[in-house]
Amino acid sequence: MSRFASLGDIESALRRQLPLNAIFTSVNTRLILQTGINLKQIREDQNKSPAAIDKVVDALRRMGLLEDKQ
Amino acid sequence: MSGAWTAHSALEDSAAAAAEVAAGLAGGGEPRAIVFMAGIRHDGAAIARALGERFPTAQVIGCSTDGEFTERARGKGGIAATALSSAKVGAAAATIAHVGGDVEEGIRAAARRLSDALGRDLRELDPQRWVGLALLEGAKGREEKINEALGNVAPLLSFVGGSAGDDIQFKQTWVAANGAFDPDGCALLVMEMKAPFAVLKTCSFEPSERVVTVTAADPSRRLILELDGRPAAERYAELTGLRREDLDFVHCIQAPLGLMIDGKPWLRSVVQANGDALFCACAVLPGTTLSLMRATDMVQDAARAIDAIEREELGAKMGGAILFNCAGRMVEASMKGIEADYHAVLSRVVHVGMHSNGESWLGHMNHTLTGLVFG
Repeated sequence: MSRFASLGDIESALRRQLPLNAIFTSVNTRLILQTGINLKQIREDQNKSPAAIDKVVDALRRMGLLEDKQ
Repeated sequence: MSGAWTAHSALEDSAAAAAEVAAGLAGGGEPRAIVFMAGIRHDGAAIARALGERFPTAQVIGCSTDGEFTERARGKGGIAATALSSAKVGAAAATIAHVGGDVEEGIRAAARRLSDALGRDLRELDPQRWVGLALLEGAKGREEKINEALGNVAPLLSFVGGSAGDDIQFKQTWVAANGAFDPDGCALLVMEMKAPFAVLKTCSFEPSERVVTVTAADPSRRLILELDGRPAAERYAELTGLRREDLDFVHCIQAPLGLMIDGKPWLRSVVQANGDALFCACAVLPGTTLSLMRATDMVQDAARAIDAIEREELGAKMGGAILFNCAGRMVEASMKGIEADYHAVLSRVVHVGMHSNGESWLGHMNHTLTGLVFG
């Protein structure tokens, strides 16, 4: 189970890890293409969805990002 | 020489063509990297070997194409190549990832070889100084997995490239690197750039006001099953105004769907109807909202894209480019009779390019001009 309560929390944590906007944007694009979820435009119906959160956390885990939060 | 130069051969004999290209690349100094693109009938291993022997300081990668070009020549069945000197490239390493089995493992093993050659993990490379080129196996629908695996080994690093071609037959392509050859591989070249660089990604479509939601899809087979809760072929025909019986490559190529990210389209080309479904040239996820795209002027768009990237990202005129132009755009340009004008725009820049079975950057996409450009 993810420690993140929302996609917004993931976005904040990822921005802290990747402060350069261009790098955050490229990782976010990877996420959109792999999961359909856009952390820059979080849909209200997805923000607290456990399935959406797990999907994003899993994709980021495979990339080796946010690992200290797992 | 500006640090990037090109050569072309129209010869069909691989040894003779490689010799002509090697002669064309000679005299520009000792290249750090060579990228070649060749007709599907060429012996890629022989070309890679010949270029490697002639230029032992260079990392060499190449692949088969749907057509190849430089700023001075274009054709199909020959070889086009570019060489980059130490003015453009510092450290570099190349290898092939075998993707015929477990794609993820093939990419991981290749990443380890690249890391060993460079003396540091790919994950530690500064993405503002380092870049990757990827020439992907292009006939078996694995590009999404390959791109995802590249993102997993080096999520911050850009790998730019395209799907190897085979005269648009989608049967068998090949890639080569440093004398090695693989008909089921992905050739990778990682470079430390000494010049400013950027990724060019443009297309000649803009979103129309018409949008659809993918309500059912099979991404692994690149099928859209439903749009807006209705059979995908039926809804797409209604959306485009095409007759149901005309949902084939020639008609659908002019009406791609676009996934809009940060205001930019990532095109998903519809290839044809497959029963009630739509067969696409890349995977589409269920739940995705797509725009029906409207064609714009390919020649003007390419010119604007080059101007914009010079002005906004490089801050200078381009010193060179390695370009991947979708074969669908080649067909479209041919149908519209604008090939000469299109290549004239590209030829403002020293470049090597290929018509590809798809383009890659962060993911797999269709119907774009994508490439690595540098100052």
